Order: sequence, then structure tokens, then C-alpha cells
Amino acid sequence: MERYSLKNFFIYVALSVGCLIALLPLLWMILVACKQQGQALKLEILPEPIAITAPYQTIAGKSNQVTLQYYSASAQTVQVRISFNPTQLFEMNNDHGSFWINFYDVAAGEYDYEFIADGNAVINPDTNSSKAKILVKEALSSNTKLKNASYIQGNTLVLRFLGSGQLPIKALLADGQEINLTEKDSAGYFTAQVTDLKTGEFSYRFSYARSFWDGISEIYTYQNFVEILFNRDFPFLKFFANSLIVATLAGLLTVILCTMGGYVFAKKNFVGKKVLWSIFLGTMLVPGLIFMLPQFAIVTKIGWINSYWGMVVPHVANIFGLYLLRQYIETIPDSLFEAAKIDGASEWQLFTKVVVPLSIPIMLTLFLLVFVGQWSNFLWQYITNTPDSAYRTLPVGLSLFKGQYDIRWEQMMAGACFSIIPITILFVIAQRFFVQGMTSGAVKE
Amino acid sequence: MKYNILSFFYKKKFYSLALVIVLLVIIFNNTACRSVLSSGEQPNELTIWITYNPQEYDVFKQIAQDFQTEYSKKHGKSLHLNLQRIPYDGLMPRLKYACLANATPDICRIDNAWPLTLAYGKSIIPLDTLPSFNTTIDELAQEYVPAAIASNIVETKADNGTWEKHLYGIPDQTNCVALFWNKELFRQSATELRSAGLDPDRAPRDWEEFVKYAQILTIKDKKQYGFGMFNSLWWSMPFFNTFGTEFVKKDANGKYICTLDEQPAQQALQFMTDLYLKYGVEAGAWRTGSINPEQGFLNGKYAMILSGPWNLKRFSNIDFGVSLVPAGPAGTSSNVGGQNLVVFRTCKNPAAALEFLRYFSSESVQIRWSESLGQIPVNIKAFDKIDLSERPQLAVFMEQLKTAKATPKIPRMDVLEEKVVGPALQLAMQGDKSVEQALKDSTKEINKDFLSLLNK
Repeated sequence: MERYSLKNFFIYVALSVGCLIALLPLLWMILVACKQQGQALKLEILPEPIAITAPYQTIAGKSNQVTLQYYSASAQTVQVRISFNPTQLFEMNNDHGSFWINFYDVAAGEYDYEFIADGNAVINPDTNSSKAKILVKEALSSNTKLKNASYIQGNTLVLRFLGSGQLPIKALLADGQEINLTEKDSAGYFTAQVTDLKTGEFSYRFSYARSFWDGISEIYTYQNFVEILFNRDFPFLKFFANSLIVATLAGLLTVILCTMGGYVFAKKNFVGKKVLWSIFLGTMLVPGLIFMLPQFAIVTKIGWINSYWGMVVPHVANIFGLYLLRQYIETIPDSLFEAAKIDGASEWQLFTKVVVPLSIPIMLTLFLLVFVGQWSNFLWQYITNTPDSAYRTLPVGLSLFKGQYDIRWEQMMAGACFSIIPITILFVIAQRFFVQGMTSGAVKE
Repeated sequence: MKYNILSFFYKKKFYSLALVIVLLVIIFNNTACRSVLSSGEQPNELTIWITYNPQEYDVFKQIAQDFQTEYSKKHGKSLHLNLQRIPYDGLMPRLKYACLANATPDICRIDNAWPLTLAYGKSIIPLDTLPSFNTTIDELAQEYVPAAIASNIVETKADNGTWEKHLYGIPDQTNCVALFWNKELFRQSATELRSAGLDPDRAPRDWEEFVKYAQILTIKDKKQYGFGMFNSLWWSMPFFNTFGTEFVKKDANGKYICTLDEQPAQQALQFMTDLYLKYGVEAGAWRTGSINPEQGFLNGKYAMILSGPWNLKRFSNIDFGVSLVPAGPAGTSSNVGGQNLVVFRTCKNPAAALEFLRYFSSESVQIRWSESLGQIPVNIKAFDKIDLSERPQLAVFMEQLKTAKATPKIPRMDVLEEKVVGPALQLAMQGDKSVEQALKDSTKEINKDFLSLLNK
């Protein structure tokens, strides 16, 4: 008994490890969906205690650099109007959800500026005004929350880094020098100076200590989910609803047709039954892609482009489903049908009162298979919809995140996280029937 | 009780009925919507299928808006550009199906390797045959990056057997690959590089030097490799081109023949395979399941990779440099990627379509495009007018493009790459087939199944 228990223990361990390995892609999907933009391909799951920033480029000899930054998760475009002589309007660059802009060679003096988000001036609730002032040659103060607010004056680089308070903070210069930033200025920046810079391009990075939770927030975000759900250029809910309708309709119609057809082929006799059945089975040997062209031609001719019908009907003729149902219904004893007939059941009643109730497991199995197939179908749904179609489905929508060179893994995976929900729910509800359906006929008793 | 789902529907007939009604409403609603859509079409409209990312799309929308305003001022009538974003994945099959059903857009943004296939399929319009085409192909070509416009100029055989040159599109976006090198990894091996007589502050300039750098930067204990590469035909072009491969040429009878079995191509592929098999400096990043070059570079595993300007932003968290592709016997060179705008035969207003294509690729619009998105302009006149002081890395790509070679003009390039050359390169790289044999077999297939379409 003990030997068996030990054996079982190892089997369970092996199966658990196998399950975990099988779940790795799912885990990867969720992790990527939660990563900050551009971090998807980084092999960083837990944060390192010491982090290194991206390199910052600056040009020695150019003085009076002004950096303005505006935080917004929702704005699509942000501009800044600044009272250079004359007043000018500049587009701000978006970087990780914050907008920023650099100005070089700004003459000393005081300037007014205001941010314009999506065309509207942004009012500062503290001052009740959209205008703010910036004094050039002063240490950049709290209106910028940049981690790096360093600037150059002549040939001196004033390093300024906004740390969380944890030390050490070091500047790593391109020539290999490491400088400790220990002093804190009035704006809360850790600061140090590099003098006698050679004129020309110069790059530096910061290394800084961070807490575990700071590190987590630098790697992960929930913004990808927000962006997927509330992006005006990406009607996720519409895509989702369309997928749900197409998959449900295809599943229901396929199950109805296949159950009826399966009943006829299993229990009825008619001229040419065997020949017709052989022809049907023969079509299973032809790859599905071969049918795509004639199906597309027919759908176009009928005018079903940009419609649910165009996506659903061609897949309803499912020979595999017919085969599955026929084999299952064949196992129902003829005596049941005879008894029902003696009781006065009509043909319709035979179907609804005998065939359907006894075939529920296999019908649900077929429904699940068709639902999953149509839920993830890309090519057919792509070609039967024009790009402006209101009936585009989720796989087509999510593929918009994949360009020729550039794949937005973070948003794509956030969408994929939502897309697995219906299938998961369906499987959880119907798994008992699914297993029953798939194993039916395996054991003869 | 056993089949509780069924009993639920039996007992709750109301819900079953409601479900059927909802589905029917959806279906009928669907039909109604379609009729509204089709009746709302504008007569003076161009439908454009585009594969831009959201940032590009925003800028493109503004440009299209400005064009509409200019067009109505110039012609005294309005023109509506119906912009439709479409996934890049599966676009070629999508277009082929659309061609069969005569349901193509007026204008589409396609990969620069596709115009030839669509031109031979007679799906797109030769723009030079339009009455509003008021220049010559050669004159027009002067305005654009040579390798970018070249993919749009296609020779077709006329009925009398002579070759005719036609223009089938206008470049929309152009790029090429250059050498990305991780400055941090170079600094870490600075002592070793210096003692080998190499400068750790710059990238290698020729392939011979490249091997020396890569050997020092390959530290297998740290799972660090000097180089990581893809091995598809497009990604192998920088090797082929720097070794002077011609790919396709006309023979004495005026027929197109493939030259992949000639000496320069063999040398190039031999060098590629040597990087992996002989020198061991390439990580095998092209193998299925391995860390791909971009991911390896991003994570400090590969010191050098070939990549394009689309990755400049993605790599912004690492300290890297961009340099020209190391020179081979034919000097430095690269491949050419990017997109073209083509006009389909179903277009009812090709003159307006051509006008838009010319507007979008004009000098001023290309300067605006480049400065908004940090991309390489397709208009050569815009090259000198872009401020590159803030974007020195983009300047390297623009320099590289001057020596880049256009994608070979072979029909069904997508099929060729996937079914013929791709597998051949893979076999050679794995050492399962000799370089000579792999290229000979490919050449034979290309002549038989692909170039024969041109020579008909």
C-alpha cells in the first residue's frame, strides 16, 4: 500500500509539473498584459533592487535646457503653449503615458506656459488658471516630475535625479565614470555636478536603489486593460460582442443541423444513403482552406460580406459534427424508438423527446468545439469583413496591434486575457458533458 | 436532474424563447444596418486600406484631411478619403480574395515586395498610363529614395514581345536594416577588445573586423553572443548585398534568370553559416524556440544584431549605437523594407488617387511625416531638410539607404521566401545541406516556378 502511495505521489508531482508547464503560456500572456509599454520582451519578472535608467543624451555646450512634462493616461494629444518671443505652440511627445518636451538654448528669463490636452487648456486646480511660469537658469522646480531633470550650463552638467529617498543613486557616464548623487536640492532632486565637459554629444544613465513595490510599479501596470476597454479607436466591446454572436450562432446552428442529420443517417433508411454518407465523409479528406475560395465567392455573390450570416453559415455544414452525432445516435437502442412509436410519438416527438435528451453530452461537446473554433477564427472573419465593417470580430480586431515590424504585445495580450473568459466559463460549466461526450462509445458494457 | 442544462431550457421556456428572439433581432438588425451603410456611400470618395499603427494613423488622418481641403480648393469639388485600418497579418490573402470578388479598395498600402505580384495579376493600375501622369517614370524616380521607388517600377512583356516599364505605386514608407551594437557590452569587454587592436567605442566596419569583435564579445559562460540574426531571405539580404549578389539578371536572350548559384551568393551564405558553425559567434537566434535577435539584444544577450529604425524606441532603455552594415567585397549595403501605396483597377477616380499619392510623398508632407514620427522620408529632397541633430541614429539609416539594394523583382515573392529560399537557407545554416547545393536547388526552383512567369 505504501509503495503504491509513493508511486502515486510521484505521479501526482509529475502531473502537477506537467500542468504548470502547460500553463506557462497563459502565465506569460497575463504577465505581458500587465507590463509597461515596451517591456514585453524584457526577461524581467521580479524587479532587481538596483535599477538602471535608459541612457539620456545631451549636448555639451548647449545651455539652458528646459524640460516640461505633463502626465495623462487618457489624453491623446498634448501641446504646450510657451511665451517664447513670440508665443509658440509645440506638440509634446508621448512616452509611457506621460507627455514631455525639451527646449534647448532658451534665453534666461521668465516664461509663461500652459498645457493643452486634446484641444483644451488644462486648468491647475491650485491656481485656478491654465498658466504657469518657468524661470530658466533656476533649478527646475516641482512642475516637472521627471525622474531626470538634469541640465547643462556651459560646460557643466548638473545631474538631478528624483529618487524615492533610497540610496545609493549613481550617475553612470559614457566614459565609464561613476558619480554618487548624495545632496538633495530644494526641489527634492538628488544632485551632483560634472564640470569641464567636452563639447559634443554626451550620454549618461542613473543607477538607483528601489523598493520592491517601486520596482513592481516600474515593470507592471493595469493601463493596458484600460486602453483595450476604453480606446476610442479600438471598439473592443463591439468586437467582443460580435465574436460572441458569431460563435454562439455557429455553435447552435451546427448542433441543430448535425443532430437532425445525424439522426437521419443513424436511424433512417433512404435510397442512396450509403453513397451520400461516403461522399460526405470523403469531403473530410479535403483541407478546409480549399473550400475557402468557393465559399468566399458564394458569400460575395449572395451579398453576405459584412454580415453575421457570411461568417456563420459557411461553417454550419460541419461533416465532422455530423459524423460525431451519427455515431452517437447509432448507439441509442432501436427499441426506444419503437416504444415511443407505440405510445403514439410523431417523428418530431421522436427527435425532441428521444434523440435530443439522450444526445445532450455529444451536442454540448460539438457546441463547444464549434464555439471555440469560431471564437478564434481569424482568416475567414477577416476576409468576409471590410476594414470598416461593424461586424469585425475579436481575432480581427486584436490583429490590429500587430504591424509589419512592430507588435504591441502588451495590448494584444490584454485583449487576449479578456478573450479567454467566455471559453473558460463555457468549459467550467460544460466540462462534465464534454468529457462524457468525448469518451462516449469508448467502453462497451 | 441528470441533464440539468436541458431541463433548464425545458422548464424555462421563456428564456429559450427570449434567446431565439434576441438572435433573430440581431440577425435582422444586421441586414438593416447593411442596407443603411450601402445607401450612404459618397460619390466622390476614395477608400484607402492602411496598416499603420495608431501613432502613424493619427498623423496620416491629419495629412488626409489637409489633402481634402487642398483638393477642394484646387478642383472646386470635394473629395472624401475613407481611411480604413486593416491588420497587416493576412493582408496579401485578403487582397487576393478581394481581387477575385472585385471588392478591392481604391488605394492600399502594401509591402514593397508585392507590387510585382499584383501587377502581373493585373490587379493594380500602371500609374504612368493615366492621363494625369504628367512626367516620365525616370524623372519621377529622381524624387524618391532609389531603392524605395525601384520596387514600384515593373517591367512587363508587351504583346509584341518587347519589355515595357511601368510604374505601379508610390513609396509610402521606407527603411532598411543597420548594425545595432550594445555599447554597454562593448565597454565590459573593452580591455580584451583593445588588446586585440579593436576600438571598443565603435562598431566593426567590415565583416573581417566583425568576426574579431564578435569572437571577443561571445562569452558562453554568460550565455552572451557576439551576434544574433534572423535567417529569412529578407534578413539575409545585407549579407548577400555586401558580397555583391545580383539575384536576378537578363541573359543573352533577354530572359530573366536567377543568379543565386553564382560565386557572390555562395560566399555570402558561406559567411553566414560560418558565423554559426565555424566561428560560433552567432547564437542560433534564427532557430525555432530560441531567443530571437531583438529579444536577445534587449536583454543584453547578443552584443550585435541587424535591425531597423522601428526598434529605436523599443531599445531606448539600453545604451546602444547604430552603425552601417559591415562592408563586404561589394562595400556596405542593406536590404530595403517598407510600404508602397498602389491604386487598384476597381478605382473609379484614379486621377484623384494618383494626386493623393503624389501629395503624400511630396517633400513637405514627407518632412512633416518624418518629424512627427521619426521615420525616414521617402522623398529624397526631404533628406537634407530634416533636423537630425536630435536623432543621430536615424541619420545612420538614411545614410545606409543610399547603398541599400531593392528587393529582387520576382513574382510571388512571399511564396518564394516561405517555400523555397527560406527552407534552403535553414538547411544550409544547420549544416544539413552544403551551401552550394542549397543555392543551386533554390536557383532551379526560382527559374522554373517564379521567373518563368516573367518570361512568358
